[in-house]
Amino acid sequence: MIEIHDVNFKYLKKPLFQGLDLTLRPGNLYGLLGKNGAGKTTLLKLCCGLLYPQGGTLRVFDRVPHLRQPAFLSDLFLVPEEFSLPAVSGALYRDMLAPLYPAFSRQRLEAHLAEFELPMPDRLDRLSHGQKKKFLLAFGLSTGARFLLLDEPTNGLDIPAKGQFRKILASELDADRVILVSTHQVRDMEHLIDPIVILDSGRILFSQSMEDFSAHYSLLHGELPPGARVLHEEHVLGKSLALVEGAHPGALPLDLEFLFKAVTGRPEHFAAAAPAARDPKEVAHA
Amino acid sequence: MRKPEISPSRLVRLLWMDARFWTRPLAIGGAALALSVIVLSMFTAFHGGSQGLHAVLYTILMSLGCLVFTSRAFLELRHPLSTQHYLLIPASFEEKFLARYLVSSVGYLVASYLFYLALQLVCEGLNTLVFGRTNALFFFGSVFHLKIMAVYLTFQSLFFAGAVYFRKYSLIKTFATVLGLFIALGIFGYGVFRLFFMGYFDGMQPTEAVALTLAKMAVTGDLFVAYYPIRMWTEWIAQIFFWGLTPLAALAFAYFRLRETEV
Repeated sequence: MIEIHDVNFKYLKKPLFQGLDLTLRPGNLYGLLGKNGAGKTTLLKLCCGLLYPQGGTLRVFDRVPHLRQPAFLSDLFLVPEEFSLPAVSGALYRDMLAPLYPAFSRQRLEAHLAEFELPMPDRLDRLSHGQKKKFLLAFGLSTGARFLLLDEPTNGLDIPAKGQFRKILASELDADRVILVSTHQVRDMEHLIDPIVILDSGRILFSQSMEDFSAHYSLLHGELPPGARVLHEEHVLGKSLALVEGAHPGALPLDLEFLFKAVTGRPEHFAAAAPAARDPKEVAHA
Repeated sequence: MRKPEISPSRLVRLLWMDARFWTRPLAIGGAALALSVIVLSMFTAFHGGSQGLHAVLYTILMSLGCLVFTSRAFLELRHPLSTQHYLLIPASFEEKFLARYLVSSVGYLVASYLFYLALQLVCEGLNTLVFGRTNALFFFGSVFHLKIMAVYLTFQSLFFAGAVYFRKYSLIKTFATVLGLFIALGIFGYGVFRLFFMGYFDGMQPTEAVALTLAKMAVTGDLFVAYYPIRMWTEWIAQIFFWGLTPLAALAFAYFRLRETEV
């Protein structure tokens, strides 16, 4: 479990997080959404110990990230949005780093690379950005780390690779793992990321599973029921597309982009109504 | 408070990783250097051979080469993208620090000597074949050589700290900083000395009475007797400072700086 409690962080004199609270439970693939500069990458860096919080507590599977202990680092893998790979072959990279991840699976790496249609590279630094990303995603998902942090994972991937990535990611989620995906490309990750965490100006505006959310809100197209409380409305094809309170018959599947606009448009409403994501064991039990 | 963690297997793996990452650039540099040494040794052998050529060339390779290599020991820290990759390698600070220090100090010294040993044998083999005469070979083996290496390792620790602290141009910046520190220390020492012996100076010169007394003592030999305890104390302080404080402070600084690195 990842527990962020009352965390403060600022860049020089510019505060970003003040009293940030968030709990991420195993067995979930969290989608972290937010505008540019909302603090998504900073949150990922805090979670993996690349930045030190200036107040509050942050624990990842009962370990303190900024101590960067080997047991912590071998249980975590970050795929950053931008990264550099050393001037070595893919096989050498694997041989050098894989033994440092006790749960690493060579078979899984080979399977993921095959899924991405990427042969084991001769020189990592000579690959295109998309190929580098495929290699790093395949390697990261093969480490067996319980906490995976993916920052804009679909940026740079070609169209077939996005589908392959979704397939691999879905196959990698298990009850012990937390996968946190920070993305702007909500269309690429729709139907895969759940629960959703929306971050804005250093605050968590929204943290809910789609199931919980759909029990309390509906996305309706066309005629709205009388007395419906509209939270966000747009006009599509001459008709109203609105997010309304309450469960209504004929509601459309929730659109993440629409949800994001609704939440950032009325942050006070959703912040007050946001329960934490449910424990998957409780969900399974129910 | 965190306990230091050192696992021998992880340390060996990091050493191997570091050595593998450096193989290619060192091989390119070594090939260029080998060519230059072969040409230079042939030129010297053509002119009758030299007794000290290989000793001088190896000293340059060892000292200058190792300082350049040490200054590039934390090349990853120059860019945030490579820094985050390095910091997230599943090993402790202690292991990462120790691996880099061993590779850039003892590792480089041993590797450079073995490389040069082979190189000079090739050079002189060629000279024997072409000119029928050789330059004297250099073999490491005396206490004097060991002492030079120890002095060198002390300086190396300063450049190691510089490699962690300065993200760009660390060789030049460390050199300038060390020079600046020595100059500042000299000025400070001189200031203390002048304050201590305030009444014995007239401007920058000693007073006439002091100069005369010192001259008389030098003639009679008393100066060396009087100077002996001061010299002993100065030597002790200098040795503690050079052999103890300098490398310890530099390595401690490098360790804590690495530990505090953020992206």
